[in-house]
Amino acid sequence: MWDQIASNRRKSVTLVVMMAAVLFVLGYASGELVAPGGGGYVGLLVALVLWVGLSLVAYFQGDRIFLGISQARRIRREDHPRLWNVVEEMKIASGLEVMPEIYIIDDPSPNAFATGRTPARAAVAVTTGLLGMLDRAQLQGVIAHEMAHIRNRDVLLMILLGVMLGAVVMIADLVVRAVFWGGVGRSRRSSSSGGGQAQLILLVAAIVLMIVAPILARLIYFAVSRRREYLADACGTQFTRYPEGLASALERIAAPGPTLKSATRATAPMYIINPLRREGMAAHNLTATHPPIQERVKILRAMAGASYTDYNAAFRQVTRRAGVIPPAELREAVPTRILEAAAPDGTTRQGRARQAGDALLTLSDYVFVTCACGNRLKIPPEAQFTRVKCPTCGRRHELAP
Amino acid sequence: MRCPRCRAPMIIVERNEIELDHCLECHGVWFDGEELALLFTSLGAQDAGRRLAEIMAPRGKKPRERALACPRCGRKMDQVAVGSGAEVLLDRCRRGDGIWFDGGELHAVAARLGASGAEGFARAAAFVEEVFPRTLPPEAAPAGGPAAEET
Repeated sequence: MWDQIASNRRKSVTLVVMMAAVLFVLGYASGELVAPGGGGYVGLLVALVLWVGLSLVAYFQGDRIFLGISQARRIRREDHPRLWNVVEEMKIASGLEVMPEIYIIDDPSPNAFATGRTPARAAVAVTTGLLGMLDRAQLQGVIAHEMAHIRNRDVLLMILLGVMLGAVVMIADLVVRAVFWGGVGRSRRSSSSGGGQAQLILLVAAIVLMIVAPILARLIYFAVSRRREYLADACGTQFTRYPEGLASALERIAAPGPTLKSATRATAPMYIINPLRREGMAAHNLTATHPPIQERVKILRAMAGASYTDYNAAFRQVTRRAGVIPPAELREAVPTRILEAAAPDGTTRQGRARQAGDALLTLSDYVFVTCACGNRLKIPPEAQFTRVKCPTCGRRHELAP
Repeated sequence: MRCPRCRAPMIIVERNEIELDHCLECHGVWFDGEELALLFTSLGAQDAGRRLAEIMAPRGKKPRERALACPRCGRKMDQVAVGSGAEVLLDRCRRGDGIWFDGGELHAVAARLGASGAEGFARAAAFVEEVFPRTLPPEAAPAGGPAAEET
């Protein structure tokens, strides 16, 4: 386990350095392009300041900002015991020392993400859509996957790489705009001598770089994140010892909902229930583009046991590529049997959706009244009612002020 | 969520694990898109959402009145006529966030849906009628039944 963290760190450092190299070369070239002869160092400086600034913000505030933007609500154990218990189980299985903070996001599209710069300061967030969709074993698979990201310190790495990717894209975009709209760089002073041609070549090279650098940065970013997703799948399976949980969760998340099978963009406006409203969240989430979900599901289903060795074998069998697990980790892998399928947990999709929704309503100080006719009335705090009449049976309920 | 008609805060009525938003002032009902999907799924009427859209026709150029704003996304809703015959209207969010029944039109719409022949709609309409009966039963005294209360 520790070996993997060490090996991850070495690889991470290499990738961060590569990404930094792309950023600084780009910064220098941009400077030269905008102000030939000396401008390169200014560009380098700008890139450096941008990178350091963004990284510091991301490091210290990134998780808060991200949770804030997605309007995540932090829950306590009593708000959603099922989710809390699953996270607690997986915290123990993963050997994390600190219980991560748990957040719920009011969003019908199923999704989950982990954030936090160190395992001691981590948070997992899931959407109400996810909570409604998945049964216990599936939810456990997803949470185990997120815990694996936390334990493998993927979050910090992806934040740092993401920031650099952002900086590269930003610089390239600005310079391309400046060149196209402002005609900068075509300095009249320097075109008098024979240096003109050399400068032209430099100019072309710099423009090519502006186009290539963001692509290169994205490739590095995706290469890293794809590998991380596979590793988190393998690692999460070790925590749950039940690969089918994550496999069926992924399948359910990726599949269009039951009512929505025949939908296309053209017919979407025809539906009462928008079939395509599943724009997930950006950033580091479970279903983000990375490896194709079908492939991940196939690998998980091909596993003969629950250990790294089994995952690696299944990975090679399905993808016909060399393995994905670091060799040192494979040497230490302990054969682990897959657990037998748990009995269905007896929850229904509606019941789970209610549970998740009620957790959010409780956090918003709604008052819950159970009427004898079978209704549950949920009264918002801003209504300031002192009594409420059940619309079905007409019973009146006094509300505590 | 606030009532799109009179802006009063709406209460949520949950019955059989389906939630409806209800305005106690004007008696309108908001049927959320997600809830409608849950209801249809639980009734086994998988493609009812699409067929429901088929029997609704946008009401053409002359809206009855100023368009209501969707209580979820805040955008203007479409007024659509349900079925044929004398006009029965409801308001539908363009994004699919849900549909709004004015207090007076709830039962007319439910009757139209019930009469449309599709099994899923008839039961969905029956559900709405069950939660919001046309006439309330004679006032049940609070002391008469053990009205469990929790806050």
